[in-house]
Amino acid sequence: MTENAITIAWPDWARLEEESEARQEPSWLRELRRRAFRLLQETPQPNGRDGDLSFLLQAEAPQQVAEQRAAEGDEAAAGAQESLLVEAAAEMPLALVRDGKVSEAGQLVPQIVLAELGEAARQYPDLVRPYLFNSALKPGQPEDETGFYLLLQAALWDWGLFLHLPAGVQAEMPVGVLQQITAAGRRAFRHVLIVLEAGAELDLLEETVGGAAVGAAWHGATAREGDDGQGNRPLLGQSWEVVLKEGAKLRLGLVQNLAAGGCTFRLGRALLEKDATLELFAVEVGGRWSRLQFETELIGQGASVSSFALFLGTGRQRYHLDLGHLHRGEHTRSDMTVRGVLRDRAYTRFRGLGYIHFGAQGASSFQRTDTLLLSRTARADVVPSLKIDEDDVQAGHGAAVGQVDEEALFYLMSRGLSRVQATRLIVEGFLQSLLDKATVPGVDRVVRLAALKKIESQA
Amino acid sequence: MVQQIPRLEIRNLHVSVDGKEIVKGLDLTIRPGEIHALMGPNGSGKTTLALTLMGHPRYQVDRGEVFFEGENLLEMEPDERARRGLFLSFQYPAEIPGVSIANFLRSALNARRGFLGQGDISLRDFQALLKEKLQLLEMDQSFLRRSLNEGFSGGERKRHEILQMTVLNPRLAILDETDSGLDIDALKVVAGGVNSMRGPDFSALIITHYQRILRYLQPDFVHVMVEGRIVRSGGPELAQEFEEKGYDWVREELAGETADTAQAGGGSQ
Ligand SMILES: Nc1ncnc2c1ncn2[C@@H]1O[C@H](COP(=O)(O)OP(=O)(O)O)[C@@H](O)[C@H]1O
Ligand SMILES: [Mg+2]
Repeated sequence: MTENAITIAWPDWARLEEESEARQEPSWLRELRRRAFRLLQETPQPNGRDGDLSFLLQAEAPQQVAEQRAAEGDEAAAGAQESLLVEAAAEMPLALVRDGKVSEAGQLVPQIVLAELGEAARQYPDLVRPYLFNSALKPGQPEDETGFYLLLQAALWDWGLFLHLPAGVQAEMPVGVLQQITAAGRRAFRHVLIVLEAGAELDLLEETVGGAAVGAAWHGATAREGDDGQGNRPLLGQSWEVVLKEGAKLRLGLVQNLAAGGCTFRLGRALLEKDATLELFAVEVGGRWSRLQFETELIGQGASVSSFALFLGTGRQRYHLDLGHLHRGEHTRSDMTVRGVLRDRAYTRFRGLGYIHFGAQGASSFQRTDTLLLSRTARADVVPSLKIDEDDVQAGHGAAVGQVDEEALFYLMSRGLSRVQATRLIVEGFLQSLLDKATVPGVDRVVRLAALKKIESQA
Repeated sequence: MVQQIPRLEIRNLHVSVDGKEIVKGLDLTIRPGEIHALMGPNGSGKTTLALTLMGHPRYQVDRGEVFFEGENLLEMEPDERARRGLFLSFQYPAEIPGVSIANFLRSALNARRGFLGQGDISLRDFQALLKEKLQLLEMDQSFLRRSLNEGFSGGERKRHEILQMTVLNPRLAILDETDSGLDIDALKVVAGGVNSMRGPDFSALIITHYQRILRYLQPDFVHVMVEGRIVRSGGPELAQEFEEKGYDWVREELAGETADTAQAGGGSQ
């Protein structure tokens, strides 16, 4: 292990191996974990600054008591916390996976393989093995911070999902996944593997909830917001590996709605073959500190991706978002549309990349980011970027960070709406006009509910 | 005749924007049921006056008083002015993406009703009201689902402003060049909307460049504003006169009588 300011309290391999055996994981899977674990210990750890969350992996020994109370608080909060997805599901057909129960949801969607990942590895090794940490995500690369988190995921994932649709099958109903972390999972690592064969179509909406710190109220300003580096925050790692074969189509909504103290790092990667289409809609509303990286690689000719991200920050919430579109195939298209609203001392760092590699002739890559700051102390650091190694392309980006438009506010007030009402309407409209462009089923409901709750918490 | 409280009374109003004085001592009185027209060349300060009356934060009142039904208007926030029954049809209405007209207008109407001590309007009554007003203004129902002013043509914006006016039923409406850029058919429709409201409870200040709309609206009084002041007031015939002679004529005339125009203007009495 390299010398570093941070001392990570690693589980030892013997324990991981034991757990793997207890879960009856096939040996190839155990080998995958072992390799990632070994690499992890050889990999320089991130520096603990600039949005790095590895400090949360420090030894927790001195905080046994706090831990205990945290766990209790966790349970209470997890029970009390409202799930946006469950609320939205009441109004739409949804095959919902919750409390780790997978099979019932799977039965609602004919021809889908929907299984807990470990179980899938046992039951459908031919479907899982070629892809699991071997397709969109390859542990060991890159050798940077992202690589570190990826190794963590590959070595330590404790629960996962596998979704597979055979060629030509369109799922009859969207699949919903409620990822809940509770006291038992104060550190949880979750992985989702999605493989759509040629022409298959799936809608998936996933929400992550739970993870309250001691005495935290949901999203509330009363959340325990002490300094970081205390090591007593819940940590959730999540990863998504997506493979879309020729002409496959996935609409994927990822909603981060952790309780107030929660910290999470999340990374996803999608590979799109010829004419495959991905619509990604990431929503960040919860937690204390959240990192999301999602990269889409457009390999096949004519593949296209639309990535939307929407963040609502209050209190001292911090979001670090990285979205990337890598064009390799000819005539690949990508659009990135990001909107956020920040209040109080909330902060967001956004990095957008559109990378048109040599050979991706006729590609188009666009980005647009707009952030509304509702207080003087809220901050956004937004950097969209383009790298272009090919001539025959169309590309552009734009970003704006600003306050609520005074003229719009005056217009609404001149019709009798109070300042608060008018601001609320403008913010809702700002979000709505992004939702109008997106088609992931249920996302609009989820976001409207989230926005409503966030805005109400203003009082 | 019993002395009524004026709907609007402006006394010696001075307004500046970014430190530059635009309205330079303006007096105007509008009584219940009266329609006044305010004409004047570009840049004379008409929009400045309108936005000041509505309470736009950029326009600073340096001197003078304004009373709306006897209450000090200048002390009120814009939303209070609106709830009390003041309405401005904007020359350049703001675009607000994602906010549906129906949704917004219902909130606005409920705000006004709240002030009047009436409860929120039921969805059914609201829909019926909207339907009636849309018909009056020859507008399509689908309009309501659009976002506020987003991608509206000039004509659509103006109709939309008048739609809001007829729904909100104000006691004093200021129409800032609502007629500009409208073809004659649209102009008639808009004028019809205003005329539908005429009565003792409704007063209006019609700001316009042309006397065209005044043919349909028949103002009780016409005022001419030049360089931040009302320089002439009279009946409808004044509009005709200005249309024929143009504003240069009044400018020249004013130059010759600067000595005795220090206190120009004056309302209708
Ligand atoms: N927001 C502003 N900032 C600076 N100058 C302004 C602003 N609004 C108006 N003005 C100036 O005030 C004068 C009057 O403008 P305005 O009230 O729009 O006149 P009108 O409506 O009669 O055409 C013009 O000289 C204009 O340039
Ligand atoms: Mg004007």
